[in-house]
Amino acid sequence: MATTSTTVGRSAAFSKRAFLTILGVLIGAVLAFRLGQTIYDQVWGPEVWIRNLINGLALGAVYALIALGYTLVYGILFMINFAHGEVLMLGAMAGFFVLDASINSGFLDYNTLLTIVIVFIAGMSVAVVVGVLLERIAYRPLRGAPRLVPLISAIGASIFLQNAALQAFGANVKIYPTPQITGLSGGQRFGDVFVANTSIMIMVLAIITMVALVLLVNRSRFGKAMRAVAEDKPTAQLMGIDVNRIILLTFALGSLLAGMAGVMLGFHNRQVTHMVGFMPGLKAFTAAVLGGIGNVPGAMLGGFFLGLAESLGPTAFQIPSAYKDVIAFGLLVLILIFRPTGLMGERLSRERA
Amino acid sequence: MRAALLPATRPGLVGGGAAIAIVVLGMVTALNERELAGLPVGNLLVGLIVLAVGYRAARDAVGAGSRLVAGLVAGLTAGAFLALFMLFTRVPGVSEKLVQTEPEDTDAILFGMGAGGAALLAVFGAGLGVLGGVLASLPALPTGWLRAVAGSGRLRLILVALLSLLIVGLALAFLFGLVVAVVGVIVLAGLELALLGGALASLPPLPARLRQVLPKSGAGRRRLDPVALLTLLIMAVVLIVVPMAFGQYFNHVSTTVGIFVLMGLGLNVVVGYAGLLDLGYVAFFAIGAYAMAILSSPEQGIEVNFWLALPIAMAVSGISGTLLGIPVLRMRGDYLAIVTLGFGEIIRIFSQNLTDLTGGPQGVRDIARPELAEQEFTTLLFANPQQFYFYLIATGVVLVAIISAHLLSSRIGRAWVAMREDEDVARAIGIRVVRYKLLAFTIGAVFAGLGGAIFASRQNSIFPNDFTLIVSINVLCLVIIGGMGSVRGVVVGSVALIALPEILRELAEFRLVTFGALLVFMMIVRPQGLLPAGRSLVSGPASLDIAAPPAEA
Amino acid sequence: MTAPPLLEVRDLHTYYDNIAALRGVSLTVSEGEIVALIGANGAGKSTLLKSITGLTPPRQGEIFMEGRRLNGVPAHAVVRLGVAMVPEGRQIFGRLSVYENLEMGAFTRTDTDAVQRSFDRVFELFPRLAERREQIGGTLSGGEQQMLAIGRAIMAAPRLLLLDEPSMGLAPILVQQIFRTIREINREGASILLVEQNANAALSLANRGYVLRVGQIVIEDAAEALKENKQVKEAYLGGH
Repeated sequence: MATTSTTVGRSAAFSKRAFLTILGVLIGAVLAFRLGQTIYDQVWGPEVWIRNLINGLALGAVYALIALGYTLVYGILFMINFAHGEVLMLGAMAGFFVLDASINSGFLDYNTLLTIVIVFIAGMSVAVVVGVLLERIAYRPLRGAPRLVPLISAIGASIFLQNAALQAFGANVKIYPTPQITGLSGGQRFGDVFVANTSIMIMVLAIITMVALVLLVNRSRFGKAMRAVAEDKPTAQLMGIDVNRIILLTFALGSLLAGMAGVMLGFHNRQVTHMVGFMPGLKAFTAAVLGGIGNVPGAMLGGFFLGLAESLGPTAFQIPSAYKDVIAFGLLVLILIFRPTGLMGERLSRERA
Repeated sequence: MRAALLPATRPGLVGGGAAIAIVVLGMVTALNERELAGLPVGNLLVGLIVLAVGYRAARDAVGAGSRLVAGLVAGLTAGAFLALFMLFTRVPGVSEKLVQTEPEDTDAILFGMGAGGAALLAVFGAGLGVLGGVLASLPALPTGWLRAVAGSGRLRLILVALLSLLIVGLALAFLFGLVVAVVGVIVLAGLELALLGGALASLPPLPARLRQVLPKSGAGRRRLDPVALLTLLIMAVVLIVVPMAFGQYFNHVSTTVGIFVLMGLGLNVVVGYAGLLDLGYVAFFAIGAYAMAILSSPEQGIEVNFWLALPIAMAVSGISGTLLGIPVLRMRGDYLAIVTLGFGEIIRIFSQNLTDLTGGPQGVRDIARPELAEQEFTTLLFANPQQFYFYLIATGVVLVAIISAHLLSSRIGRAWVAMREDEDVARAIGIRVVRYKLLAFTIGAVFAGLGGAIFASRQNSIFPNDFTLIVSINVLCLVIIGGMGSVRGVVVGSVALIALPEILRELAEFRLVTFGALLVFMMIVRPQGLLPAGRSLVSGPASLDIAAPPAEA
Repeated sequence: MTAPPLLEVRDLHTYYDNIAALRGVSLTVSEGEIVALIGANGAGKSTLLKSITGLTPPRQGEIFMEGRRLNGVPAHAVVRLGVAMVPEGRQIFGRLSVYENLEMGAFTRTDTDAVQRSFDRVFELFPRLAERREQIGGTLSGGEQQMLAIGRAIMAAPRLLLLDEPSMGLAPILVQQIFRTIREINREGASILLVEQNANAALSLANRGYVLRVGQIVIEDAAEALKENKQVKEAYLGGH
């Protein structure tokens, strides 16, 4: 428990801790009671639980991928890339256009797997281009400015991209024709539980990607340079690391993940509009903060945690699912009350937050 | 000379990209419906971009010859980039996806000649680029006389304002006709006067008794400036006369601006003074609005009078500000930002789903209008209710502006500034940080609650969709664009962000796109805002700087 | 005509905003030399090193490394020209392991065999680092961090090594060890520009020395002579 008190007296610190403990126990008790009630009354059969568990994992995997983009950028620049959700949306759009073209040309009928791969590559490439342009145009000129300045710029970029997509591609909903794609349509049945193929694809792909990412960050030359830049930019320069290049590559990497998540969401939800980046972006950002922003494993943990909470929360506590966003944000508030720098956050809020 | 070639392609690519963007967004098509001196405005805009690109590229080059070459290269690059893209849109299927680019329009850009047209376009671009290069080579215009005339300080402000009024008015009249131009000029004039009024609000023209109640002004007693007093009088007259002279539309726009000024002043306390980044500020606006609605609408059966509901709504909003503040104020910086953002969303979701209380998506209807002595005040004195709201909001804005200017120069304000600059130091010198944070949050919430309550009454019915995240963002942006921590800045920011888009309805569909791009542009060019808090308002640095590390190379 | 000196600084002016930190500094470091730069707090010693490495580019004046102009070369490219720096306060990467810190030192080098030799050499010079190679940098003691910072600079295989207050905050016995290592590095071919407050130790190690005061070089002489210089004795050597 990080105590932020420097001059607060011992008794005050104690009473704060006591207050938090009591609050924690109370909240825990209420939730446990409600959960016990749900289980005891056997409100849901096991298949409901398992179905929601799997949905939560798939959703969490997507959140985690997006959250990684926030956390990578935050870790290196200490700024919230508010336009990250829009990068995702443009990736999903690009994926749609390629998919559409491949259907119209009949390419899909002969090369299903190849089409899916190309759709992902298209979505990811467009996302990378957008992310890189974003950094060059909207963020790089603001290096070293007060913290709110790049945040506002990011908000501006977000508004611009969202409405530019609306203007350019129209407000109509674009349908990802998932059911026409063999392998992605339908699902698998495990006993009583039906799992959509897209959920399986999301989980497998996301987990492979995350393992690769962890290896990249921890083992590769680029990953180490990225961590060095995150920690100390002038000294990293003394090592011969081109800080601007590393930052640009970090944006590219985060955008790549966002593009992948965008295409995943497109296949899974079967539709794209100019608004699809907004809520997932917000949730994933929440997830990144939950895990401790700037922390790579934290973002993954936060993503899965949030996905599961959203999916299982209404089931477990018998809350209408309209309130699932309330659960997400309420959880965020609760966790930050008890752990002000997130689940896995380092205690660096003093210097950086 | 060869050295100038490669760098010049960069502005060319940027300009080409910009030109493509406005084509794809449909701006060219939309603007081409108007003509300027016989030329379609949209195409003119594209030409202007290429010209600017040539100018920009040439400015970086040294020597007349390489300037022209740089302009040529940049223009050629931009033209060729645009031409290539236009050819791409002719690929079957592409233009259907780009809903704004009609094939006829894109054909027109290629002079209706396909590939040959593309080449022509590139050549055309090169020509414009050279022209830009020529412009860049001209000697700078003598601007000394302007500076001499303008003098310094307030006089210059007024002069520049009048000049910009004239220019903006002429441009608007040219583009959109007389009516819009008049409204634009009036609102801008109002802005100018409000701006001077804001300056006066930082003077203490308060009755002695009120001065005792309010915290003591740190600036000490200042003599009333007669010029300032005169402008204040003029402003008052204009404020009273203008809403009578103009119709409902003008009053609607100006009351909307006023409501945003109220919110902006509140958020300015939280973000600008105390340095707490609140991204869910709309929550308090919503709480104030719903409090007013539930208390006064017959739907809930309470039906309280407007004048009673107003203070209650403000109190409810203030209390919720305190309640939210207690758990979250231990967090710092970005964590606080996201939690407040979440809070804003939670309030909206509740308003959408607590159907018994808020009416859910159907909202609350028949919210009370302010009445005086059983008489419909509005029918008694005013041509339309909007006029009354204008006066109500103007009064509110003036009061809130005075209060917030005085807060800043009080002990409380200094504690906030100290806290904002360095929380640990503030704590070490004995400032009770949590208490002052709570105070900032509460005051901010009260102001927003006031705005929300009046908003609910003016709208007559409110819906959850009135209270989305975009409101929070708008308010934050207007505070920052106006100049953080500055009362005048909030007024300017509100006019810039709320009134201008409202008035430029002709460009309605491009409003948000332009707005977003302008925000980015503004942050790059003038991050401290249009009217940053001067040294007279804040003793410390003008811009908010929550522990930003010094710039690195 | 003789070869140009390894490092030449000519009339350097560096500003922080509008405050002059360096006001016309000129100095040279020749091949194989150890040059000490001494001066009080705020004299501009660190600024000079940062100007050479490009971290705070000068406003006026010129810097040459082996005859190549360094002005305008970005900081990250200066390393490739053979200049490495041990910054003030060590500035090791606290969240990277010892080994990773050293890897970062060799970031610009591609010859893996040569890099491996540098690793071996660093671990030979500082056996402590070899023992702790997987440890996270932030958990090292002050002395170990200084060793790591120097080791990291060695990893760049520099022709010129800039050291900013390597003795700061270290116990005397560690200072001796660090200075011995610096001499060894110098014998192996790197020239050294050493910024120190501990003037006595620095001048014992160096061939030549400069005294910097309020942004200007006030005395320049052989190290031995500086040690005997009355002014220097009074101002910087004190009770030592």
